[in-house]
Amino acid sequence: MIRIGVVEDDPASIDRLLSHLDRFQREHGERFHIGAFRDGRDIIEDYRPDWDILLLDIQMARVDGMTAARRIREVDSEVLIVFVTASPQYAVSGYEVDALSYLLKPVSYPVFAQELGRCLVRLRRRERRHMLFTAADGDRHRLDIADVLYLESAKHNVLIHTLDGDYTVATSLKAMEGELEGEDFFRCNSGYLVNLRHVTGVEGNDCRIRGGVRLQISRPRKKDFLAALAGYIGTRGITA
Amino acid sequence: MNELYVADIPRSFTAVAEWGACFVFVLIVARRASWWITAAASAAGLLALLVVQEAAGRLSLALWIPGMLAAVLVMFAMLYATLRVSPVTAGYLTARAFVLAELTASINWQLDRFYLDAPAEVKAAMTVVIYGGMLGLAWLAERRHLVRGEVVEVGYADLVAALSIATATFIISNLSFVTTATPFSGRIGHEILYIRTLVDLCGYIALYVQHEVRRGFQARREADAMARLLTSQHQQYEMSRRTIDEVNRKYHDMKHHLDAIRAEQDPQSRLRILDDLETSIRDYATQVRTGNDVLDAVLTAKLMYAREQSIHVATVADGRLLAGLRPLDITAIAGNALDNAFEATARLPESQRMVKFSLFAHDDFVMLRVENTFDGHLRRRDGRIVTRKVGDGHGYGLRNIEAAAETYGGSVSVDGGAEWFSLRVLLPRDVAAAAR
Repeated sequence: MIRIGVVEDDPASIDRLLSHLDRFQREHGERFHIGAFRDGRDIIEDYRPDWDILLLDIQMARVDGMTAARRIREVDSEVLIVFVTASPQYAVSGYEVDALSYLLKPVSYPVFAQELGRCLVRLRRRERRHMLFTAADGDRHRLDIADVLYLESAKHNVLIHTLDGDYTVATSLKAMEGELEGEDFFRCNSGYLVNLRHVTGVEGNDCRIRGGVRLQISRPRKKDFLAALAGYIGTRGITA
Repeated sequence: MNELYVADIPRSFTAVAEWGACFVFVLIVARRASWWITAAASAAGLLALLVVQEAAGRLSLALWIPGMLAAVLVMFAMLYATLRVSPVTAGYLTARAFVLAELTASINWQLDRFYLDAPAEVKAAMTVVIYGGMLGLAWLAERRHLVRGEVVEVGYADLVAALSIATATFIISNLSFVTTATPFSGRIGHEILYIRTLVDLCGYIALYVQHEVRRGFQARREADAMARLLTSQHQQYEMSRRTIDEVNRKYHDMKHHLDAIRAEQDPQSRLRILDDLETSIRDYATQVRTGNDVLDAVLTAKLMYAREQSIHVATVADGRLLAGLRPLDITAIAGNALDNAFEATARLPESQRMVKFSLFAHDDFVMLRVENTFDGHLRRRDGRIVTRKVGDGHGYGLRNIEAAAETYGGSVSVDGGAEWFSLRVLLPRDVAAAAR
């Protein structure tokens, strides 16, 4: 069950957030475990990293949300933090604690629902997706898709380049492309299938992959590649 | 056919014409280096052209085309070495210089053959006058539309067009020299020379006009950008005028509130009035501070408009990420994106009008995203989302955003869900965030 913590010192705001959470569970058929804290201090005292999502009020009397978030990040890099605030000028410092987004008070339900929806997508994406294959040497392997950097076509095989090594598989790139449909992979030219989450930059007609490899983007595909990349990155990062 | 007529232009004459044509552009376009280096490179170019043309003259007729191409390559090298241009632009200028050289050499030779029996000194003088005159005229003409010392930048499309015109001109003008057995060949000596001159002249004019058209487009684009800037400045002026009115109104409200508090004896009511007072001025504390002055100005103006239209806007933006963008491009991207978003929310009831503006870094990219609620209807044409507005001057918003983003090697993608529409602008971080 997904665990959501609400940290908020204003009773009216707590009620509002809790009723939004109730409505969301009803409308989307979800079941959450929900906990409420009355101040930043309450949650950072013996904090245990077992929350999935935290809704943090920024302005609280004793320990404000930003301070609480920094302390939480020291022990928990996974929890999704969503700030709740009445004033948007705090927003920029949210980058430091890798906050996912901001909700502006008074929080309206449609905005809340969209934000929570994004959080859930993010959480579910984290549930590791794997691919199973038999390498050319006959060994069976199980790979986390998030660890795949890119796939390369080589004669009648496909080379799978991952964060910790390469594998050779007797298959075609086209078949792999079908298998990885919907996993944010993109054919940047006829010989490569790139994992968009590991594209760190684009220079001229090359894209840089995490680890420093550069792959050429073919001219006719460049526009679509950049659009796919913009689409992928657009679903990430902080939002208001 | 009379041998004397078709005896073709001496190679050295061609070389000088080609060099002179290149030099016309060297005199006008922005140079890479000082005059000394430019002069040295030009002299080297002249020498190289003379050598290449003489060598090509000794080859068999079958290798005539490769010889021509070698000369063209030398022209390209000379232009690229002396001028501050990209290879594409150098190619474009080479095409234009080549046709000009053909025209100059052709007209001179036509006259040379016509006055066949004139003494050599007279002919030499005539050649000097014609070369000087033709190239001088070309210099005057080119100076009209290539601004002196300015960096010229052309795209691939312009290069392809110029190369096509130059190639066609070259083929048609020289057809008669290769064979007389086509419907487009001249058969009599003088005619052949005259046809060549005419075709070269047409080619030169066509290239000239192409450049004029290109300039016209550019001028219009700049005028559009200026118009946009003026409009946004006017809007800002309108905004500040309204702000002043509003401040005046608030001032009167405050006075009434203060009078009421003075008059009120009951502490409970006093507190209530104070609360009212606080809520009435709360909006005025939210000033946008993103770390980028231009973005702040755009957001402040747009947020005021949004408040008037009761659109709920939330911004999370690290403006420092746009330090490398020209102010005009920031207004084009952020302003247009927000305008589009506001417009889409206008069709919804007030309680559902929501816009979110985010700007953040991701690896070596900068992402600017604007999301808005909308009624779920998108108009598409050829797979592109198009405006639902009627009349001129509309529907350029998205295209302006794209044009500005592409200047920095960025890209734009849009995505419409059931309730939320989002526009994402992706920019390379090293370009966008570089301090200017």
